[in-house]
Amino acid sequence: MTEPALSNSQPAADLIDRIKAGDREAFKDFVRAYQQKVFQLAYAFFGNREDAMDIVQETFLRLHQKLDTFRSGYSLQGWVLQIAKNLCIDYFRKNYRRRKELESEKSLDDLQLAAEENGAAARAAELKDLLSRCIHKLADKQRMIFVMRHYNQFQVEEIARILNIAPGTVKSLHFKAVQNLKSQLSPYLGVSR
Amino acid sequence: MKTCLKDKQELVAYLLGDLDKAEAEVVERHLQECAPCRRERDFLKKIFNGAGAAHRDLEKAMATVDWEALPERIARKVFDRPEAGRRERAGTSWFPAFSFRPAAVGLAAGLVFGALAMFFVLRSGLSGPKPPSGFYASPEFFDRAELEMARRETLNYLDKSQALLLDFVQPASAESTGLWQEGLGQRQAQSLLSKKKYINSQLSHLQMAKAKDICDQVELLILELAQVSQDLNDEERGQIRDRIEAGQLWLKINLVKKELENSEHESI
Repeated sequence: MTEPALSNSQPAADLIDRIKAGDREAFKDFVRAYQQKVFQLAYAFFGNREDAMDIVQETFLRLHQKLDTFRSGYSLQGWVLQIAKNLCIDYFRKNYRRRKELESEKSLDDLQLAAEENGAAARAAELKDLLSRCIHKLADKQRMIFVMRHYNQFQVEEIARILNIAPGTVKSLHFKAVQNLKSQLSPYLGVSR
Repeated sequence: MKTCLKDKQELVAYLLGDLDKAEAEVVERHLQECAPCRRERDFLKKIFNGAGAAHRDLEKAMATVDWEALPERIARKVFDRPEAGRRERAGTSWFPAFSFRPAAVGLAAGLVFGALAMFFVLRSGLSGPKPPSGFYASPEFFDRAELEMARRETLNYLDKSQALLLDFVQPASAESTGLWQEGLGQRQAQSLLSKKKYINSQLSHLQMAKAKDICDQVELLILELAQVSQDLNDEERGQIRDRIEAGQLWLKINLVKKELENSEHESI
């Protein structure tokens, strides 16, 4: 997945300079270029549109305040998604974890029963829901990497760049996430471990 | 034959297409031979398919957002709020110091107000008459207070000395013997000697001559008591008792105490 094209092929540093100078259109170009990437990340993280939209807005507000921290030569997409990722984790820690835990504790068994009674399509839908709940139980970094890999469909190197970690670490954390999901899901998918 | 891939990163990498052709072929050959790994592959596929289904949800959710309008909405929030203009001003202003922030303005106002208040306070304090104090006492009052304090200190000293002497001269009892054998009496005597040093200056300064005379005599005895050995025999105890009786020290202490109690504000 490549960096989104900015209008007029403007280099990232020029765009940032124009926004710093108060150029509203430059800022809108900036939002236009990355809004969907941020939304994808946040939606995958929270699994609902409203929270994802909040994160998109908050990310660009935060980016505007932190324009001075952008280092020229650095990937603009990496910088944007790094801030979005931090906001997602903060937001999740503040508002989400307990709520999701309660929901998950209550409904995992219900989901399995429902899956047994319905057909294949329903089972697929339930699996998706079940997976989403299990993803919320992962550690922050594991969750972020799984989401970026499977929902945002980033390659390992892109994730490494965005999260500022080594590609080997990305692979290893992704594998841990998969292993954790396996152990969470195996009782519900009827797979012998 | 390749070792089992179950619980290894390689199988995950294979399913995600992260292996090159040669590596992928090795994994495929192994999967044909290994039933546990095939089960593992099928299970992982379910998880990744579930994630794929979620990705399709994401695409549906994205279709509901008005991406054309969103940049303007966010720009409005950024540029039309009070602090948004600051970045513009800060970037274009010829003198950044003029881009005040509320906290800085508050601080500056506080400093100016404080300086003015200090100026008026100092000016009135230096040039104007001193404001009348809320409490005024004459020098005589302070003298009387000082005398009263000295009188109480002396009475206290004499009371404690008398008690200590009584402990010493009374016929030996288990209690009083224990007091001196354990060194408590000596420590009390040392404490009284320190107290005497403190009241000496008051007795001289306030011309409490009679009290001073008795206190000095008591001090000599106390000094002796502070130095007596813990195993003082009855004969030595008797000698000290005789000296107290011969000097009528007991009576004199009582008289001075009575006078001190009666003369609250008079010089003794």
